Amino acid sequence: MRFRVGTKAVAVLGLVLLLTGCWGNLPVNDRILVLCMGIDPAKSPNQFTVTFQSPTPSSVTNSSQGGSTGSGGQSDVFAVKGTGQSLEAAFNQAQAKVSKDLYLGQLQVLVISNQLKPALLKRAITSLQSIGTLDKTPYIVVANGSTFKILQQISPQAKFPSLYFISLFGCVSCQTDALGMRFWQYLVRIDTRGVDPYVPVALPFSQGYSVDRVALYRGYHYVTMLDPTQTTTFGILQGLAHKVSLYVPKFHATVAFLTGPSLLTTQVVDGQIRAIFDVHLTAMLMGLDPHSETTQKVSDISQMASQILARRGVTLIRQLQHQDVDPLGIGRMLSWQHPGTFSHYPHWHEEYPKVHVIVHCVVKITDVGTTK
Amino acid sequence: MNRDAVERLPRISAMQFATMITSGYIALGIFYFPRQAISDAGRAGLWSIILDGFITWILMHLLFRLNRLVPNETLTSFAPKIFSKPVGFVMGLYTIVYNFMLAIAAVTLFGFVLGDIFLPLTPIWIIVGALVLTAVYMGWGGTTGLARTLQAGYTPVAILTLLTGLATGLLVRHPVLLLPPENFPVIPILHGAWQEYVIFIGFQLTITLYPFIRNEQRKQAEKYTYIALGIVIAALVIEYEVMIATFGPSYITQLRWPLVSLMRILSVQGFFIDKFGLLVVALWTIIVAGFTAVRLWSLAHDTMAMFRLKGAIAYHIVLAVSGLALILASTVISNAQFDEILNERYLIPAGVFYLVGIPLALLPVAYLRSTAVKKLRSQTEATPPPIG
Repeated sequence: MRFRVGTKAVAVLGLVLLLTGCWGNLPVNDRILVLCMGIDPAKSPNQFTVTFQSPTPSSVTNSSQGGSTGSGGQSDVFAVKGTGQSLEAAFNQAQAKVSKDLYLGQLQVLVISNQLKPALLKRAITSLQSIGTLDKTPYIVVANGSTFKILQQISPQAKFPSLYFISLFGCVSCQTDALGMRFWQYLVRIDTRGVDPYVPVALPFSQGYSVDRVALYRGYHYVTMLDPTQTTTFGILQGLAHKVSLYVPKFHATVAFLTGPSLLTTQVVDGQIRAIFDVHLTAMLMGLDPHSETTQKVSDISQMASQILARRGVTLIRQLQHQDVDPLGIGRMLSWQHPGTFSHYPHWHEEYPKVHVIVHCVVKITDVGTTK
Repeated sequence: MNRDAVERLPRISAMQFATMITSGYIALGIFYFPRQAISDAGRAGLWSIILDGFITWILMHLLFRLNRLVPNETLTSFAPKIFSKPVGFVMGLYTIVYNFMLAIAAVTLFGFVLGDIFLPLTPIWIIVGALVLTAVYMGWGGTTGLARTLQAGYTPVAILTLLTGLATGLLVRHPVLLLPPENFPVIPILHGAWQEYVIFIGFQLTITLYPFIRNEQRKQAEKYTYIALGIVIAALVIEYEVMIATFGPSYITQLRWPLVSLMRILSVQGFFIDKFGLLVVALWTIIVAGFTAVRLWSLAHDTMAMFRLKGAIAYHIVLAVSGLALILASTVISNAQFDEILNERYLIPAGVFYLVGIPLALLPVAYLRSTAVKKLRSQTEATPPPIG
């Protein structure tokens, strides 16, 4: 009996020792939890500078106790930089500047500069993918120029940049278009033929950040940045629009809260590839004088809004075709719907500009927002 | 008639049998699922999964037929008696070695998964050691103890995984990919089914476990095992669809462990555990420990039957030595890539050969030697059920 109890005790003790994860265990106090990371090109060619940003211990304590931002003029975040030819080299340099373990497993926002050369960006992204503790859920954001400006920017709305972007992208109705792009979604686009990545752009301004543009990439090559109007059109074509509004000059009315799905289908007719976007939007009518409001007028506004948006859509897609960038995934949809046809095109980017694009847009006004 | 034979083995219920058999497969292949099928057949890989399920159902049916020949004896015990001793010995040895290889592949693979995600600084042998010790402890109490432990541990985790799998539906980004594929490229589908079959390998545990079912619950046990297989196939089909509609086929082929990747991106904001999917991956330790425990249990019983060892002490010694050997053998596998090559090149062909070969070899011989089989049955069971 004693032998049995002893054996069980030894077994349980052995399991406890092995299973606790104490091997290489590090208390959280000895760790710097990096929440934001910025990647910029370095002054030396073929190198990049990585900024690792983390909240200060005092700001975390204040945050959990409901404290206010930046008390006593102290910043709530601190950042260390490292430069190198690889992410690992930059990491080592940054690690040498701090007394605690830089830990990337809690990364929440990755900011990349649009000035990064494709080879550098590819190297950084490949290294990031191989970090086992990184779960590929951080949001990815593009900075127009230096990422450090974004990471330094203080917003009165959130204590840290990471909290601001998580709050923004995590709330669909808090955005004009739901542009949030998680790292895994970016990787899916990078690794899938027939679709190119797009990444929301964060521009710093005095009160925080403005996020109403997207940067377009062809693989790892930065191509262009869409302006806010083009971005809303892009959002509509992607089915991501939530609070888009459109002014209809002829009736001096605004069609607001445009939202709804967009269905892309591809067809192959006599060897010609067609991409058809069926966009079904609902909206609220604003600004129309209630005395002049008739069913016919609402219908006319609806039709006119549909035409304007369809025209904008076609114009944008033609521009994208001209720039040879396919963020809407026309090629990808062709590969899913007509795999045989797609397999005939080893270089999709040669065929993409020739695709005939049709945009059907229907705006249905579900509510009249004018009240007196 | 041998009256002592009736209750000479510790008996388990029909549900416990189904739980043990189900825990004896899935654990190894689930990590690669559905990469191989998609790499070979693209979206049509769905048909590979369904085909695998159908083949498993047929093979399971044949194995049950085999079990019913001498329901109170394990295959390792009765094969030498109706074949010949050398052939029976080879079959028994094959069973033991194959169970051992399966266990090595599973524990090492999960060691790499845990090491990659949670414990990057921990040596793999430490993770494997903890896992195997847990498995040995689970099997220490014998068949009934293991069956109860699996019911208490494996079943809740399996149900939680199923529910989490349904929750991953929220991650779907391309609903158009939920539509069943319309093309049937035969060769790629067959190749995909072959590569993906690792997920079902392991249910041959029936040949050792069948004699432990309570006599009156044998039919019910078979029924429950079929139902569990149906649930597994349905869950795999759903998860295949969710994964393909989330990541798209191209990206899945780039992922080492697609289902783990899917679970890792599942987060429930506002819930007390934000990264809920990661929690489920951590809980898969129980699934893999269950898989290893039933393999070790089978290994111990087959070894004892082969060398005519009896008694609890012999069982414990064989179990402990097998566990130790498993830990040592797992250190041979240096990385996850090697583990995958071991699966693809050796475990799948050896497993399919075994699963197809054993019933095809034994059933005709048993038919030809029906008198010997009848005699054997009556010697081992007081009131043997009819064959069929």
